[in-house]
Amino acid sequence: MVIQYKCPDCGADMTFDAGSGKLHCDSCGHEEVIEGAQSDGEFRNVEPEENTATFEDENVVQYQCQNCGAVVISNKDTTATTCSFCGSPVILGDRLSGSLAPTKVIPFTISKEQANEIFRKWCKHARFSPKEFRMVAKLKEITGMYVPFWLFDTIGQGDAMAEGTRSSSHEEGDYTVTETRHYDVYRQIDTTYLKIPADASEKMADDLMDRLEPFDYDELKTFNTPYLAGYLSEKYNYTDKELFPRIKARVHEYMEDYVRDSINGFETVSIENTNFNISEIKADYTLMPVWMVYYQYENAEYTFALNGQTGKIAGHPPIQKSIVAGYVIGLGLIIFIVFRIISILMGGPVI
Amino acid sequence: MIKNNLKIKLVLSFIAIALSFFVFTGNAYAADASSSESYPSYGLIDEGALVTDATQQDEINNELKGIYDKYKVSVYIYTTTEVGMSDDYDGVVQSLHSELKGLTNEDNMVILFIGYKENDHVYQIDSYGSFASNYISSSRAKLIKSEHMQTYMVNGDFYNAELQFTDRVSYYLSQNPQFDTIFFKWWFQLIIAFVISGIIIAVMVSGAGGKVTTTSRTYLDGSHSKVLSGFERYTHTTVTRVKHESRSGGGGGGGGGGHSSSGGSSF
Repeated sequence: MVIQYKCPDCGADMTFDAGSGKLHCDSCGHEEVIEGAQSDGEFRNVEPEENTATFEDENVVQYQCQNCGAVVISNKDTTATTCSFCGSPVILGDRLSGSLAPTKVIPFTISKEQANEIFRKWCKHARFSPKEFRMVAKLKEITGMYVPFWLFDTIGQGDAMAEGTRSSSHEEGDYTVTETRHYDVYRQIDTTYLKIPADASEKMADDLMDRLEPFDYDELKTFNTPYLAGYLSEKYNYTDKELFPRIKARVHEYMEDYVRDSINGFETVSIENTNFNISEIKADYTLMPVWMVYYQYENAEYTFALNGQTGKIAGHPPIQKSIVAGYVIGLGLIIFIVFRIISILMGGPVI
Repeated sequence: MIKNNLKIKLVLSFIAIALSFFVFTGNAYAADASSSESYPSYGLIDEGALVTDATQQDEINNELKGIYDKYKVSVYIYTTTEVGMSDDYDGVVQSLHSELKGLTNEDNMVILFIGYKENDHVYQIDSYGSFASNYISSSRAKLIKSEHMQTYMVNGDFYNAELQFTDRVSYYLSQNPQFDTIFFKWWFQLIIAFVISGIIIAVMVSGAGGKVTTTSRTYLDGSHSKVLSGFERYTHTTVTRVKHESRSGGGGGGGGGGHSSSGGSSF
């Protein structure tokens, strides 16, 4: 099932416009409101002819572009792409239905041009990277992609035992005597954490995706296929059950913080043991907007991810050791001079 | 915005570390001036005739006068050939101290005792009064002996040993001992500065690829989270005792004051 959105006025391809949040026709400027539209309502929903359009071979399904008839290049995870021959946006509807139907989506609010600009600005400020890198001479590609995430709602219940201390000190002759009073602190807590994201794509590095957070959930919309028009999208590789251990570990840390925050009036608090029971209320299959930036620099390709909603960037820029050393020396000398000035102002020796 | 927050945090933590080195402030002890009427306020009492040249004697006395004029600290150098290292010189030193204390009205005194008998010598530096005992502390006195006087003493060059002594006493009286700690040594500050710099830059480099900016509160549903129960129960108390760094007793002024001593060396 291939879905392609055509302009009702001129018949050209329509794509999702990050600025207006509507489907936009580049050709005549016509705009279609997405909100409230059925995912396969007023737009055409063309079933490919069984014999020619779709066949399955070792889990790879081939789709045919409704625009030019060419085979749509896709892998087994692709849910939205563009036809590599005519550039028409193609949405693979059968991979977005049933158990694979996303519940929610955060649409792109940052356009490709804005993403480009944000990335260049970010590179310019990459102070530890080589100068040539900061100039961004060769940007290989910027691709808008809806990355599959699970948003977990969880309940965490349990109790924790901590040790808290308070101390006071007084002088006794030549000695400073410090008395530290130790307390057992117990807390039983019942917590709820909502919409903790975990990326469900095996291609995306977890640490890269984690650093794109937070997303603004006010913009969370009920999923609708037109949002994908003009972007790449993939289906999830991991189910929510498979990802839950990751979330569990995260909630466990959150709960320890919750316990710590609830303990006041001590100078030190250390949690000694916990007995937490963390369970999933639900997990929403959600597509998150990410601009993938591929940057070719000195025969190596660097991948950066840019939050398509907030503009936050994650990725590892090349680090030049000599620049880092320069910073360490420069800052070290400044700190040293400050130390000396403070010493001298206090009446200490100059040398 | 996030980057700026980090920068502010780093700067604040740096200032906190810097300040923590300098918390132990205190005012320099003021020299407590009181004039002596009968007995000289300083002097080379060369009973052992270790420095016979009159010019050299004058020179040492001049140094002692200079110290007294500037710091109101009475410095006496007493030499004797009656006792050496093998003798029980401690009693001799004690009676010398009592005698000098009785003779002079000065509050702040530094006494160098040199005993020299049959090529066997002993020398000792003591200080009295809150200012002198604080500035010529036993640790400083030890340094004066080992770093400055020792080589001359070994060679029997008492003139230069005494000159070194007056020179160092004069120097240390100008240096507040609170700055003797390692934190005020330039090389230590340089090392610490680079350690701090290294840590700050390392944190910045590790954050160059973007940071996790969510916290445990980001996804917390506060209206459906609470502490159901809890208690705090006292278990026990631990006590630690830390000895002060060499601090001489006695407040400023008056006839009291501390006593600092370094002595009993023989070569």
